[in-house]
Amino acid sequence: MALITFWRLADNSDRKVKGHRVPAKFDLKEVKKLIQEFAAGARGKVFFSLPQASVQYVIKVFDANNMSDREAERLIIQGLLQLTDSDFHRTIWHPHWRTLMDEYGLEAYKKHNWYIKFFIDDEGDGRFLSEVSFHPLETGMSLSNGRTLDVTYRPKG
Amino acid sequence: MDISKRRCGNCAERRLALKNVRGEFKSPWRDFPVAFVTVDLSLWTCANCGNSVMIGGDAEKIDAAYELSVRDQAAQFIDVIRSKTGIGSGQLAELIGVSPQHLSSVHSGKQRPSFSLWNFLKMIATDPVVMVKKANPNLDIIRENILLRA
Repeated sequence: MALITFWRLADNSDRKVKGHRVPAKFDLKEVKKLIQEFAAGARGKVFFSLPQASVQYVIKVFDANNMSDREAERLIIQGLLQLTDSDFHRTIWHPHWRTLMDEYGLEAYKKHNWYIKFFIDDEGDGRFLSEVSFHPLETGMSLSNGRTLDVTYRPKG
Repeated sequence: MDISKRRCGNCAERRLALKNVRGEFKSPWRDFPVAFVTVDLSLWTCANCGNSVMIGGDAEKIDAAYELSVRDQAAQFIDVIRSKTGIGSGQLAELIGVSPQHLSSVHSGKQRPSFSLWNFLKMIATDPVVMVKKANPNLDIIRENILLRA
């Protein structure tokens, strides 16, 4: 029974319970603290577990800007620091990772609307932010404050 | 911090290990739709699916590896073209439409080539004798295929 309840909560696409949206699983203050520690030199605090969906994707989007990996990483870090609670979309259960992840939408950042997915990993030694996705929206997204974000980027070819 | 115990973002396995990805790692970089690393580069890579993850500091390492690789590859393309066709660097510069000074600084590794220059050199280097002939604007193939059709 507990498992079914958990599944329903995790799989609820818009995270509404009795008319109220469920808050994000991970506190943005803690997320930003990890990012600031990373920026200050604690490089293990942020982990890009799938660069194709974050750093490398950003370089592809800004190919005309001649962007390096370091510049793309910086753009992602700055974008994450701009997130607010009102940018929250939903929390999802990731079947492969067997963990909850938060999804956010970042509006009009560097000319695009962005899809962001992360979680804080505290398995093993120490807590760190695992940045799974940071790329332009591929489908529309509704945010917790009622705003809807549209797709702003179409891949070439 | 034990990186090897972290999960791969692609397959979620905990089988990350430091690996020299020379000759294997490729991704978009600067104006290159796909760049290849041809120098030594150690990245945490999943033993299960081959996904290379990034921790702090890796971005700088990757940039440095690409910078070296792209410059080195361009220099090698120029060497191959010149040795197989016997043309001088001035002739080659004229052929591909850059100044001899620019080609010289790309050859010596002082300047990173643009993707278009790198790609043109790569194309010519795959079959230098034929390509030099085709790329030469004074040769018949251009006249026959472009000028005479107009």
